Amino acid sequence: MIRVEGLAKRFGSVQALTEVSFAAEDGKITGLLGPNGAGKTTTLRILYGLLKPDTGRARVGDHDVATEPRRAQAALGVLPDQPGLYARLTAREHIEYSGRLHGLSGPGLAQAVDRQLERFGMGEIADRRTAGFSQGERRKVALARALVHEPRHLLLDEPTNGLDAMSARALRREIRALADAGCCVVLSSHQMSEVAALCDTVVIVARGRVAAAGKPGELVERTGAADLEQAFVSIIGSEEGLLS
Amino acid sequence: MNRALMAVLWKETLDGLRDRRSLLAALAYSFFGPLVLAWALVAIAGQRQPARFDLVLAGEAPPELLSALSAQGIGVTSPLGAEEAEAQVREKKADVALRFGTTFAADLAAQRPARVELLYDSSRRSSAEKVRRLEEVLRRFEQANSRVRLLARGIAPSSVTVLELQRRDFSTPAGRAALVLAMLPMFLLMAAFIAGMNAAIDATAGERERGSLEGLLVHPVSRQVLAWGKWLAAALLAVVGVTLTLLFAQRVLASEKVRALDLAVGLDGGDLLALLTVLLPLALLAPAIQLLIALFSKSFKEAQTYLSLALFVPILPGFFFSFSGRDGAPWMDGVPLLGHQTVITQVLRGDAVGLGTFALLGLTTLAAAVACVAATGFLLGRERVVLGR
Repeated sequence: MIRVEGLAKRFGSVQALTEVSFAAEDGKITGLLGPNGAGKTTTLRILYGLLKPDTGRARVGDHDVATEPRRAQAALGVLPDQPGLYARLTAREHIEYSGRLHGLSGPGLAQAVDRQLERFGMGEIADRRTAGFSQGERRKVALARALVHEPRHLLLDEPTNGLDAMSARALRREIRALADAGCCVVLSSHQMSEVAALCDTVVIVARGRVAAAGKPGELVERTGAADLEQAFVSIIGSEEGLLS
Repeated sequence: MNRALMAVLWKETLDGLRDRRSLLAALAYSFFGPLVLAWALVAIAGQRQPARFDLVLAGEAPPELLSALSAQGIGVTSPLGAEEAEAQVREKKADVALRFGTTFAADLAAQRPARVELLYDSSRRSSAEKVRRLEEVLRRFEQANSRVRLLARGIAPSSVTVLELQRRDFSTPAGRAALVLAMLPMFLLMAAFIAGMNAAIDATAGERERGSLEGLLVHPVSRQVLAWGKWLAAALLAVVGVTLTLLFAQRVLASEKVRALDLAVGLDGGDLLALLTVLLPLALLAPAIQLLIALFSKSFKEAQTYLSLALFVPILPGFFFSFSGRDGAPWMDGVPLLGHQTVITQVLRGDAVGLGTFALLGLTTLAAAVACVAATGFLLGRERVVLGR
């Protein structure tokens, strides 16, 4: 369970978040949908402990992010906004480093690393340095790194951004499998079709507020629109910054 | 030891060792300083023994003069024609030539002024010393002959000697070498700052530039531990760099050619230990300062610019003291960098340095290092620093 209540955050003169509240259930995929600059990344950054909210609370499982930041982080797998890799390390070393930072060691670490390499079919590239990796390969490394400690909660910031259609599909299948295995998944996206196809719950964020939340079908019904895209436009009153 | 700390140290070290080019550049510096020193010292050692050289000769020289020349280490070529000898000097093929007139032997025998020409090009640096030595030989030849003539006339030669000039040049090779050695503290201080510099930049500004900092900060590890791990990796390199520089410097000073200079400066085991005691804490402080500075830079390049400028800081006290001609006040011995310059110079000169000075300087340096790393850890938790705004 991931829950945020009344988050507000200001950067200088910019009010990034005004009031964001939602709850994401275990075993479900919750999608934060909104145009660029709506506050999706800021919300996720507060959840994974990079930023502190001005007001409001965020909880990951039983842990309050503000009072128990390390415990909350230990329960999280994160694909951050900037999933940069170290060019001189191999794919395996990236996953290993993350595992060590999560407190794994010895045979347990080796097994955890192998499990991720297998999950993402990275056998061939496991021991190559990431300098020459394609976007898809980089995303796999970043995701494998986030999953090495088998977290129960996942925060994925634009997980399929920049991937080709095939890689994006494979990644969505993997995310679905994680949710089916009981993980609480929160992802952000500005792609309507992705959210419609993948998410159990949609939280529409615009100008630092939650404009609407519910199952995709419910949102369509509530607004009397023909599809999610129409629903979205009628909710936030603009088509700006969206991909269908 | 803390598992996360070891993880950071492992990753940063692995990453640093694979960055071959910066690693080699950093370690090359350890050789570079002492090599410059060796080259300068050997050049000075070479000036001590006047080198043998050959003189271009035209016309017929008296045999006594030839043997006097050869006693001074000056050889002669087989005699050339007058024009040819001049051409050799003009075309810079020879530094000096001595040309005797055709009537030289007759004039000498008749006790008339006998003409001899010294041909040289004063714009050639290598000719000055040779001309000086030749003039000396010619002057002695003239003196010896005039004595004989005076005696033949019943006059005491000493009565026509008005001045007794003695030259004493205090620019001894050892003195010049001491000037060169004044560079050594600078090389040693810089070594601490150069060897770990790239690692420090890569661990902070580099993380931010390649967008990997956020992915690191999502782990359940305190920012302090991250800072200490990154510092430890850079500090190891700095320690290796300083130790190598010191060992090479000792090698240079212990070499045969340099020892022949009879310098007042040498590095025995005790000196080496004393210098290590002074320099190792500095090798821990330098990367700590660099981490802190690089954390404020938005990119690798920006950090490099700042840190290259910061490289001048350790050598400023040295410049100040040598140009102002002043010695530092005693309290300066306890201040990092100020004290390092003085204490290293004192150790090299063979002055006694009190244990208290070592302890005080070591403690203040370590305290400064701890403060810098802790500040880095603290700043890694600041949103502005993390997001690079």
